[in-house]
Amino acid sequence: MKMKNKTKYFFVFSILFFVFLFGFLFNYFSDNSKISGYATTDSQVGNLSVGVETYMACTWSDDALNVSFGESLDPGTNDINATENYGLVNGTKYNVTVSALSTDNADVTISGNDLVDGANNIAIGNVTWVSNTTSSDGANMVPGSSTSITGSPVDIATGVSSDGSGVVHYRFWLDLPSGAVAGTYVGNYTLTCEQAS
Amino acid sequence: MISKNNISILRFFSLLLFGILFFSIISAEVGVGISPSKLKFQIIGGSEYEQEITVFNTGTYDSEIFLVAEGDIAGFTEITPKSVVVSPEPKPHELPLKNSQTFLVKFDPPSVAEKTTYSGSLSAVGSGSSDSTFGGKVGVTAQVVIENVPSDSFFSKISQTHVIITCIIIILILIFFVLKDTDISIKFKKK
Repeated sequence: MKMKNKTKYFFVFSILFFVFLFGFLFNYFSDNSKISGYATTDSQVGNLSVGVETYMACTWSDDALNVSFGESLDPGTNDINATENYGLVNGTKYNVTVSALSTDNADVTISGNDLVDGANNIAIGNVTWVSNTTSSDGANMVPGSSTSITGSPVDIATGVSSDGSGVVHYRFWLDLPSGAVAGTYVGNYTLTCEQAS
Repeated sequence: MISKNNISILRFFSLLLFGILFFSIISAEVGVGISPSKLKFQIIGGSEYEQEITVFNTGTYDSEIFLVAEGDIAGFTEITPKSVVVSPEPKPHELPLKNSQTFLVKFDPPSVAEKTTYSGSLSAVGSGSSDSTFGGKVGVTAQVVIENVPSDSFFSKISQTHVIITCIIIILILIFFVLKDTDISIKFKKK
């Protein structure tokens, strides 16, 4: 009987030992399998990699960050100009320039959020934009050619030159719905530059 | 007693001051830059990868810049710090950058059984004053593509399910031998 108990305990401890050994090895090799990856910004072939520093930068006119459609607006009015649509003689003061530090041409996108005043809101689709890459008062920069801003990014210009001359001029208009409740509505839009696809 | 000459000089300097103020107002700009602008790399599933992202300011005044991960990578990307205040680069803008700041971005994608590609972006975002009716946020985006590949390690092929099943089998074997030693038996009789 004594011998039988010894065998039993030996067997149980052996099993426990192997379980712990298995756990230890599993943990050890899992930690050591954390090998760092490798990054390049350009190309990569097999174990040879080529890393080239890439830059993307854009500069916006200060007015582009502080857009207003004025005060005391009448509901039901369409194509209300943003205050600086014609702030530069006949041209718009809203613009973005692709910096010459950029290593590639840029795509510029726009998206936005509803204008909100407490529980009331004016859908972002009521704000429209149009852009021109050559003139701040291009012939196309009229409400009839404009497009609604959406919640998802949409290109307003693609392949804008990164040689320092690439500028995108744009204008905004607001269609104020007839049922809009009086108030001070606040919203925002986002303009983003990214490497041209 | 102010002479006509003094009045003329006063007018001249008033106009000059107004001109300087006017010029400084119309030339105010906000600018954001990022480097690298594109990031593509391979990572072994279950491992971490750290990357420094440089941001810089091509505007004319200090700007607070946030770095935000978007797309497939958002769930396993950690960025520190949350934001930095960046002073403008001196003009003319040129490399190397003088006032840039860096973010540390840690990618920690899950283990995978087969090669998986994640696409997303890191956006450096700055913003204007918060009291405008339709405030603008501006940003530059670095595209990120991560190829997550399975590890070649034998242990990486062992899943949690394998471990659980192995443990259950071991426990059953232990129970069997313990019961056997305590002379407890189960007998099945034919009907």
